[in-house]
Amino acid sequence: MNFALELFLISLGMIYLIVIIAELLSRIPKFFGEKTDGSD
Amino acid sequence: MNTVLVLVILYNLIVIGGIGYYLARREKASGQVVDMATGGRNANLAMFSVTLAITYLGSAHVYGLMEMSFALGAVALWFSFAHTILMCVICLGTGPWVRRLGCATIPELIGRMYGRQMRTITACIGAMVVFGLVTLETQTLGIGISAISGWALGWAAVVGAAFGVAYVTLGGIKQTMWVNLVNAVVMYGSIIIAGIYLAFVLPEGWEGVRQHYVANDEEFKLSVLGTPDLLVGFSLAAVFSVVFSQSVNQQGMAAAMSAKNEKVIRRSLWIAAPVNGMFGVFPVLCGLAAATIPEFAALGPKLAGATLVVTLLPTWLVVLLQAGFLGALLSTFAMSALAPATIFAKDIVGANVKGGLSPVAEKKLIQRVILIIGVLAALLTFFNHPNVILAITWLFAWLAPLFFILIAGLFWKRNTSVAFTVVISAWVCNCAWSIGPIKAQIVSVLPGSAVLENAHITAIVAFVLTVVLYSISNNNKPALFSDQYQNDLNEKGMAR
Repeated sequence: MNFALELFLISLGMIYLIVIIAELLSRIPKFFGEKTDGSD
Repeated sequence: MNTVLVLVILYNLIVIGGIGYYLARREKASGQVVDMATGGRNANLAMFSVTLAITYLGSAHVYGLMEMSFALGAVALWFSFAHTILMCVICLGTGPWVRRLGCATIPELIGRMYGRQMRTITACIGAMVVFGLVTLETQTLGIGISAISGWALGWAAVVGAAFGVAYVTLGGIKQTMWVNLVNAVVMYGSIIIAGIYLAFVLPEGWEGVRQHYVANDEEFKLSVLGTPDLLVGFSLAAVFSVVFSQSVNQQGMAAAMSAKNEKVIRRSLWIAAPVNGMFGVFPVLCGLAAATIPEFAALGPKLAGATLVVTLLPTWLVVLLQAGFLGALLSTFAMSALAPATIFAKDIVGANVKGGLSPVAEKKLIQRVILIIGVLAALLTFFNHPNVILAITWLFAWLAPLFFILIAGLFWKRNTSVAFTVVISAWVCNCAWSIGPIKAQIVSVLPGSAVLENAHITAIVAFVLTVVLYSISNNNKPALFSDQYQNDLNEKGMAR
């Protein structure tokens, strides 16, 4: 595979991996604060 | 004057002037004064995500990553991943918290937790730190304009500051958000085209770049994991300093406070994280490619990547790229200039005027302060050009202790004396670590501490003191997000 494309895909994967881990952690109560319904 | 410079300036005049004119007309028609710092708190998902992402794309991303990847290889991408983690902390943590409490500045939030004196102290330090960042952003704007025009850095910085002030003075954060949206499209369009274009104009394409590193036994430079030493020494340090210092920085919080609601902030993570993180791939590729071509490699890490872009790409693409890069730098400058002006108007003047300032008076004051900040930053940058990365790291160190007293005050407990002791101790240690002879004395006693930067020192001191002092302190108030505090509030409400 093209080297530049490879680096692009690896970065995209890393970024979404970090985001998914953070989203999962944020669902643990009190980890990132209480979840709200956004109706503030 | 060369064609690239004329076209880049023309692009910025049209975008900044056009959007400023449109927003001014809309404000006049509605007859309402839009808050410069919060933009009326109605930023939607697209505007908020892009603004948050581009606010944290500054000089270090554009020029720093080319330089870092030239020397270290693809492991430099961890600087981008550190910013992805930062986006997670802001979108899922600090951003929704400040939005929920309806604050406009970090000192205001600190003041709500720990009282007026703490608000003034953090406002003074916060304004000083962000003003320092403005002077550095002025310098990098100057570097960008100087690279295109060939002008002396001092004069190029003056022109950059003038554009930056115009960028934000016309309409505050609302103006900045609209311009960001346009710049993001141009910037990403141009770097994707440039990445594809380079595959055809590099002497042996991207595969040739890979072959060069394999042949020279430097295959580790092709991997984002680099070597174990680089992973600990560079990647971990980048994550550490970026996350602790930037997650409570006024620029990011200013964006969060302008969001429509908490849901927008939380959802924006899925857009802000890739928009911010993926930007780094292009400069890293340029740095890696430049190091393999003797003609560019001979120029050294600072200039090789930038020269490769200008030399190998056609003029129209260089114009688009430079316009996008300049847009990213201008956005960071704009948010950095808006931050101390907001802190000054709201926390230093507004908080100490009976009844606060009227919206019109506050807007005028913010505009004047931005103008003064721009002039001072241009003046300082005209004569002084410090090392940008070192100076930014030093400035970040001042903000790290705020992160810990903020978390404690939101979720654990509040005690003004403890918070005061934590920040003052961390800041005294920061000053001591900045003085060569004192640092040398400490290093002679503790040789392992030689690798620690100022941001590490303040974060470690603040973390340890926060945990120890809160554990032994008495007469604490409940944390703002604790059940006890909510119950107290409800009882007070019922008593009325």
